[in-house]
Amino acid sequence: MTEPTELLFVGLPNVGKSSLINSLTGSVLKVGNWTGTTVEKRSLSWNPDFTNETISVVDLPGSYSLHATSPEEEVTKQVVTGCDGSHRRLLINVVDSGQLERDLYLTLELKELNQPMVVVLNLADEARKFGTTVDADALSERLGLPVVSTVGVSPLGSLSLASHLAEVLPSLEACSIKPFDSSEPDLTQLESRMREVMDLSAAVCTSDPIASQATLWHRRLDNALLHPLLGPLLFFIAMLLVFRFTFILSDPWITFLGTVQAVLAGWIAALPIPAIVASFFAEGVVGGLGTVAAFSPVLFFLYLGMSFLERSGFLPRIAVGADRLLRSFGLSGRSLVPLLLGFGCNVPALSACRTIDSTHERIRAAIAIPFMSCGARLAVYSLFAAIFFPGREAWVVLGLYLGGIAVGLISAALFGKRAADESVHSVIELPPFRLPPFHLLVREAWSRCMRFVQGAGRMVCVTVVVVWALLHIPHGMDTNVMDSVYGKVSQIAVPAFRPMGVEDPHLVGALIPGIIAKEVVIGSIATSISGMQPLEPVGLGNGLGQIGGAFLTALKETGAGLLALVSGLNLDISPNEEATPELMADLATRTTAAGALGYLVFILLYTPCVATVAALRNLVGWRWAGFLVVYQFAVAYVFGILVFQIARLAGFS
Amino acid sequence: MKLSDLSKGKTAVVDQVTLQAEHAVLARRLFLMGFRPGTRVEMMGRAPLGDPFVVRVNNQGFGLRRELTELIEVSPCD
Repeated sequence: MTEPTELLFVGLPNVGKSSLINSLTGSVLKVGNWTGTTVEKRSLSWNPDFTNETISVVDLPGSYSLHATSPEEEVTKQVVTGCDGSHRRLLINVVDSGQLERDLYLTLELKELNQPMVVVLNLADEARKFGTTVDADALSERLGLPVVSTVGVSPLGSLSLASHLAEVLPSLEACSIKPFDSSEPDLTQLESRMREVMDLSAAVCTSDPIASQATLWHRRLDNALLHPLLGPLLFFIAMLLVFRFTFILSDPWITFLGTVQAVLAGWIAALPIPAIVASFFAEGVVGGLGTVAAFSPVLFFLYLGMSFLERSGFLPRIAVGADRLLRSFGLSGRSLVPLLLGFGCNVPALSACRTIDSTHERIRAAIAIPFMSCGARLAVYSLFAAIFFPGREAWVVLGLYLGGIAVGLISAALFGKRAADESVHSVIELPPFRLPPFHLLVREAWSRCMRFVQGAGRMVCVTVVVVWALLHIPHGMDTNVMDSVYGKVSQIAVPAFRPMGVEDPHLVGALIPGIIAKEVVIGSIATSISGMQPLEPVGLGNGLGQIGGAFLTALKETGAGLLALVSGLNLDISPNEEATPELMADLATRTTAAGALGYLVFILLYTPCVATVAALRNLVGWRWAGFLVVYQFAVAYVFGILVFQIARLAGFS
Repeated sequence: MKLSDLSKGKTAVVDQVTLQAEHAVLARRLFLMGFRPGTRVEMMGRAPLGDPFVVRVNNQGFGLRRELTELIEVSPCD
């Protein structure tokens, strides 16, 4: 066989193309109730029940017209009009049943291409709720094309499309080459075709003139979100819930994965192999995998919350609300949620940037996000603030967060080209509110989480192994950290950090593993001061018991967390388990209050963790990612020194 | 009057969208979105910070920045 048969899904933004593909093929494409969820051509292989041929299903970015008005529409146009006559393809034009007047324009354009095509009336249930009924047979007759009705989000909603495909695919011919007239239509042409669309739509739609209960409810919600006081408050509560939900529910699973990691390391230590080999596997390889795994619960729950905000339609409203504020920094409302997610974890924040349709703005958001202080950095602040600024911890932590926001937004405004007419171009579409089905949210969050693990996992693992090697060269299992390459590098780096008030090699050294993940900074300081602990061997049965116990505890705490979620709204900072009173007393002697401030500012701003670098690379490419890594290091260095010097003059010693 | 002058809750009919020649692409996009002579547009209000404006055309909401709403001429219906 030659090329596989292609199904091209074409339609306006946010009419449910991706949902429909998910429902039809049972696979998971990212879906959002948000324009521009698909910004590139994505295809997947599908083995339907009705044939043993593998079919290529192509999801195209939403387009208003084949005469492109944006880069994503250009992609769609290229694919749809680019038939080379070599393979069989079917255009599947998905339209929103409630918006025929808007959607049929594209349908008419597609029809002119004279290719095999089917029109899918999607969201028929929603249209009915708003009082619009479409006569599919009449539409089919007037268009001269087959028309099927679907409900993309329900598992059976795409059956009609599947049975239509089973019927037409076997007799599908190879597409014929027909030149596409790409000259841009003038206003008269637009108007005449639009009249045709209006006539068509008027002939096949019956609308109930009385505004139904559903419309009223939508309007009320929209009015509340636009209210000058109620709007920001609702938004604030929504974000708070997303974060609380994420941290409360992910915490038990991080602990559980930590136990699994410790048991695996223990099993390796019990094997009859040289200690250095056991250490390589237990601390290097398993340690690396463990670091990746430890990210996944936070990511999963943040993605779950995000998916809900996206699919329900809240996201574009939030974007409208914050637009004015972010404009001053060359950003728009679309960047708000990515920026806020950064306070949880920079990684999902960067992947949320994909919903920003302007390339310039996407880069600016990517510049700002790593400066948003993530949950992992908070652990370092809370320990140092407790030691050096007792009673004033909250102010120190708040100051660091605000400082990060300021540096991030100013950096965004400084870099990245600004397209001259961007302000005019920013039109945000506000889709109807939709209640997303829970199982779809879970499936989607899971697949996004796995994509991160596969994507960034290798980079994180390699870095962990490299740091392991630095710790063990040249003395093997020698426990004195300061004699290893790691220790030597730390000591060499100390003079560079002296202007920042940090002269202790243990503190300086911990910045190296801090590049892997900010979570490990405290642990590294502890290891480096008190020496590496030898691995404790664990028996097979004992280990399994520990994992089982930890699993039950995690389940129990998740349940308790869900209860706590609805019962109260206190945002507590959990105490750091690695910080013993001895360590705190020891740390107090290693720098001054001013030095601690300089160190914390450096931790806040410097090179983000490898997972973030990997996400940056995926979003804006290697060159920008590389530049940003260097830029952030430089900014952190300059501000660390500045803050220390100012604090020292102000008398914090 | 300009769309930006339409008060909250009021409906108007679009007369004209005046965009410079270099914004032809945007003009076409707005046309396809429903901002074209003869369509009814309802002013839903403004974002809490005063900008963008939120309007409704053909049952679909849009957030438009002030600069853009000033380029759309409308006649209010009462």
